[in-house]
Amino acid sequence: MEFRWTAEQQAFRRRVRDFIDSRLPAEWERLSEGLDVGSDYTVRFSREFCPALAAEGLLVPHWPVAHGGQGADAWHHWILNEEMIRSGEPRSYQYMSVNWAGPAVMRFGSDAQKAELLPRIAAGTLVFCQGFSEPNAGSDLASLRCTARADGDGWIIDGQKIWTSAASFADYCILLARTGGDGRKGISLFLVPMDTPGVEVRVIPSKMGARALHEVFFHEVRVPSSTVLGEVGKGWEAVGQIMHNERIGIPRYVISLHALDRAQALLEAEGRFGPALRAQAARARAMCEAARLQCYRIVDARVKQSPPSADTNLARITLVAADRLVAEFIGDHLMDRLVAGDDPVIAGAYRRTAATGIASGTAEIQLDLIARNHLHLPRAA
Amino acid sequence: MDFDFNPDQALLVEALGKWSLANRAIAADDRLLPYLDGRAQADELRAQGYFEVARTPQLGVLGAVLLIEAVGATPFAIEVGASGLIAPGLDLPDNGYPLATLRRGGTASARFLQAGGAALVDCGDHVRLLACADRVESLRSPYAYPVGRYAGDFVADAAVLDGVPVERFRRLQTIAVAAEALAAAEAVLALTVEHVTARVQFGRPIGSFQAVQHRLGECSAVIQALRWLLYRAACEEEGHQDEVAVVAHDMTRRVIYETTQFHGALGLTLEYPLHLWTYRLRLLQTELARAAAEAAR
Repeated sequence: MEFRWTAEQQAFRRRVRDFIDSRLPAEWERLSEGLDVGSDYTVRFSREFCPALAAEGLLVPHWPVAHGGQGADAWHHWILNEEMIRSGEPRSYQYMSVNWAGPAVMRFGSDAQKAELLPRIAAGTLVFCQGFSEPNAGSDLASLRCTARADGDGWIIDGQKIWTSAASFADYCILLARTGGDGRKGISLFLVPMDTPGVEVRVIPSKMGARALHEVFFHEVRVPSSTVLGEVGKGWEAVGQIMHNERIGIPRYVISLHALDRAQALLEAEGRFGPALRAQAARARAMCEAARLQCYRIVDARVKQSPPSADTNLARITLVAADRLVAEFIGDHLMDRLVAGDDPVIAGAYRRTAATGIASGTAEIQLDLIARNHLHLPRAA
Repeated sequence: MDFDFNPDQALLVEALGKWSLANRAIAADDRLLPYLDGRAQADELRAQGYFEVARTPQLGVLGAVLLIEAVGATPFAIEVGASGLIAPGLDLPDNGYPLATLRRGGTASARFLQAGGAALVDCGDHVRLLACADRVESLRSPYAYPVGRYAGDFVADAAVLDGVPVERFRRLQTIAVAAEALAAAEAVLALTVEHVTARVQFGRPIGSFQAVQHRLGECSAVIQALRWLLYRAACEEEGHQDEVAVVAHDMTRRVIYETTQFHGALGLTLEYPLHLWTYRLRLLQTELARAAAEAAR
């Protein structure tokens, strides 16, 4: 058992951090509207930043060499994610393209899809959004009703998606649609270009940032059969295989610890960091560290190609608990700063914590899975 | 980063696992005792050298944590934290068994304080060793451990241990207590899962209700959170004890409440063995509360 980074991993982290520091403008925290991943500025910035990252070999180092990566392991991928999120995610939502849209195409895509999409993702020029949730299919995703019906050489998609991040500037949507029958077996995956006639996007104004949430409507959207990703009717399985390890999502503890450091420094400077606050901050910090280690445990399992386990769901619960403690600390003691809006890191972390137990599968679904797969508790009849 | 045990640690886990499973049975005559005396088990483990694992470089303090976990999974009260982790971690010789811990300014009573044994005394800026001889009186305690009181001035009677930094002593103490809490929590969680699976109300096992499942799921998550913090602290030479103390303290509070609650009145009886671990956890909670308060200073 070893809890330290190798010299090579440390050097990789420094290289990523130096590159980010050399590219971010001095006023980055303010310009990005408090590190809002979907702010106009960040989205524009990412259009130049991601190709520059790609040129430096830092966009998809974890991809296989054959697809433009360097075959780096999951640790390098995670270090990259930690450094990006620490800086306010200057890739904007392209992290979804490199983290899982690309790998999904690699695993299930046709040769034509691979040739068309992978070089563009690896070059940092393609943004994907994820069309999963629907107004009546959230936690119960398998009940989704957006349909794709066969029509000659293609499909006609009809329905609605909701809570979609980045939809208003994405190039493609990875869409789950029902191609026949009820339940999980009737679901297929599609790669739908967002400029296809009949696709309509509406931003949902929210507390989560400028373009964090959207509704996407599909009105009789005709797509060729070449847009099907993987086998028809096997979409649910494919998503399960690709997404399991992604359930821990992004390394949120990095943002939360960053905000906690800032909060502590501010309170210390103001002479307000007394024993009660110290105790509260220590609890939040300890839980963030626990979340970090539980995430590292998942990465370690990924590197060793161990089968998926409930560790992922357990890690998510700790991430939720950690973010809740950090949010409570900031909310209890730094509301004056939040109101004044003069610290984008604290404000950004505080804003993001509200979604920790909701995005990427709710905390309650994680607890259901822990009960079933880890504790082996009886199911309701 | 590597979250697997090294080959020596893996062998240790396997051997201790077998030993632990062979020591789970509670004799019919012992069913109503507030704790089960584990001296015979302790002597067996000591004779086989298990209390020395922390002195072996390939096993280290993490090896001692694994020992404490295996011991803590049994229903027997076995002193292993101070003798199997703190003393070897401080490179102290065997000064008598069992080894308790006391604190200047605190009371003269402690778990595992026994005639013929010894105690490490935290004197604030240094550590002392107390030889108990026959100056210990046994107390009746419900807290699932043998408890004794030293009849005398335990600070004045103790000898200063030169070259033992008090910070290191406290760090190892936190790791040892948290390891014991982890083992007890795993044991009560397993008992609780068994109980809620078997217990039927409203025509279904109570463990099929989401209200029960989610709370036990949260117990699992915080137990797992503690496990990796503890293993990291055990692998490192210094630091990380504060986060262990804080999370272990939160964990004990949650696990004591939930597992007792889901057993209903059964969990309050002496006939059912839950109390052997929940009442250990209650005492450990206090020790962890103190360590957590220190962490916040």
